[in-house]
Amino acid sequence: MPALLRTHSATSAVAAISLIWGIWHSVLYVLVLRVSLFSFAMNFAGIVALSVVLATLYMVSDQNLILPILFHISWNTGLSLVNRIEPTLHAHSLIVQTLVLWVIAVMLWFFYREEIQAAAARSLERTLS
Amino acid sequence: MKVTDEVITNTTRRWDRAATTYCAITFLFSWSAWVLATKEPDAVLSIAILSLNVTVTRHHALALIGNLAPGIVTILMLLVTRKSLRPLLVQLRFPRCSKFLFLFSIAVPVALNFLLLVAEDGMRFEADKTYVVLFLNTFALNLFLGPLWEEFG
Repeated sequence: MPALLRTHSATSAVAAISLIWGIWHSVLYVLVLRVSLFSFAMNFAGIVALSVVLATLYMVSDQNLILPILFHISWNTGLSLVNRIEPTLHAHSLIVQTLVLWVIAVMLWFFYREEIQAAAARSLERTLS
Repeated sequence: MKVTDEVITNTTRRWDRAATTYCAITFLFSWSAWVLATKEPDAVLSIAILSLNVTVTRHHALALIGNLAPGIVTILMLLVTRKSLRPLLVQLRFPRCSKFLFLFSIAVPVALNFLLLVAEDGMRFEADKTYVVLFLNTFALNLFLGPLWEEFG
């Protein structure tokens, strides 16, 4: 993230990280978890939204990893419980969840946009000094 | 240090190379582990550490190693390039932020997954207190697994 903030705006940096993180997960979903094409697409969209949330938490806490880690652990824990309770999920449930996650990601980014810009500027200053 | 255009350009090039190398190694490491996890997935691995015997399937062990790769590669790259681990570890200090953000980080994922169950069961889903215990146990189990190492990366 700090490397990308040097050459890109905060929005582009987060977009790039989200895509990289989504692609990194693709083999896990396709080969290990063997999800359907639809489920893969939903998970990919969810991972991109999730990384926007994690990046926002990272930036607003002055480049601290605790909040993104807590969010990620809570997310993974919730998902593993869902899989235990409902091993097969319907398409509409996944669509609803992904849409709500996207709404939260966009709202969070918009709400904290000034703090994110300030944190990006601080990050650039810190790396150059 | 006086920040000039030359300093910015040189530092950018150095970081771009480091970031690209990091991504390439992490992808190779994780994807190799995950591909290997699909071969003989039911084979069992027994690991003995002092008096503790842990038995896991090869599938689970390799899937987990693939998940940990972003953090492992980060630490290895810092060690190989003889850079300090301090900037990485300092990011794990207690954050100075509002209580709302702490609550948000824990409660929103729970609410979103609860929403998934409610959407799945057509509003007939009933929460059980055993789920709370199960959630806390799984949360504790996850503390040192994937998320920590992924966020390190």
